[in-house]
Amino acid sequence: MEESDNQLLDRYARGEESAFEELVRRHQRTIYDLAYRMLENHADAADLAQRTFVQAFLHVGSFRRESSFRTWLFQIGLNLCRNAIRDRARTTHENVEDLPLAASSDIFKATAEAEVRDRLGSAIRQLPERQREALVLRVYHNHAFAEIGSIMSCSEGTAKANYHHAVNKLRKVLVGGEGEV
Amino acid sequence: MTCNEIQNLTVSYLELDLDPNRVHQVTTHLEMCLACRNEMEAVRQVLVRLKGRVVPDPAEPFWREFPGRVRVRLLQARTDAKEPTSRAQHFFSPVSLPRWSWALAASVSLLLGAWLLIGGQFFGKSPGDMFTRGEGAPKIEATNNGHGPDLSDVAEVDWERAWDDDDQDMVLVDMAARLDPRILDRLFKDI
Repeated sequence: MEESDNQLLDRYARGEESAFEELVRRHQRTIYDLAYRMLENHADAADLAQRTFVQAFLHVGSFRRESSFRTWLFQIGLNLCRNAIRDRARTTHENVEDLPLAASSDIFKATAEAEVRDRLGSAIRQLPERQREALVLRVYHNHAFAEIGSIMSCSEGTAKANYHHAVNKLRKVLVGGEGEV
Repeated sequence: MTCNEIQNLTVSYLELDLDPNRVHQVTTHLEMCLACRNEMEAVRQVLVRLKGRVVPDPAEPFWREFPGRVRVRLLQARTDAKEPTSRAQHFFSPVSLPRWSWALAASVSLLLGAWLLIGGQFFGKSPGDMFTRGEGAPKIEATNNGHGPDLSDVAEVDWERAWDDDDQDMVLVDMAARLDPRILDRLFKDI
């Protein structure tokens, strides 16, 4: 039977290095995925994922186990992502509201598929920070809204509202404002 | 339900995040309303496209080496935490300088201060003037080609080693003794 994260943390606290390796291996893909979704390039995502684990193990003594270790990793990773995105924002000033709305018929053109992907990526990048976080945690990591609230340090309702706003903004950017697909 | 209410529930409906009664109300409305059906489909398309965005998987060696890289960075972070000051900060830190250098600097400052004070009081001239042009000044410039007192004897001694090996009071006396005796006589005769 597979050991729980808390059992591995206990072993790590006793100095068993194999527990460290197992914990990192268990969560490395998830945290890398989160970082990639937020930063959208491999180098930054790899660096941020590593820093997330470094911070976690550096401060493992302050982890009270009120949430899961995975949730804690998400909290650390998301904080690091916020800082990285804010650093980037000092050099770029686009806003999702400034993106031109798509013509309703464009979405059906075969040649427009790549353009839609680009527009989607661009629109996600330019969502407000909290909306983007809620979107990534919900769509790609299948977190319940209560857990998203825990990770983002807000209420379940706020997490849900952020997610709904994000989806609605993307819908406007991708398929225009008139409701036609 | 109105179309506005339905549109506010679109995401929740698609996410299966509504209670059964609400689901029934929305479904009934959608059967009758083309605009809301289109809106529902537009949002569904967005969610499908979002789900379809994949993260390129780095090659297997990346994952194999990942824990090792974290371990190296963790050790580095722990080392940095133990040594908060950088080398530059350490270099300029007062505590990093040897004590003998502080003693030497204090002694030289004291001597120079006294020299300036006494020279100014008695001659109303700067020390440079006193030693190069003043009538009553000792002719020390002759010992150093006219460039002021000769401190080469002081500089030649390994004060650091002397400070560590000998009685430190005696080292200070030795430093003073190696200054030109005429300077010392001049400096201290009125004190």
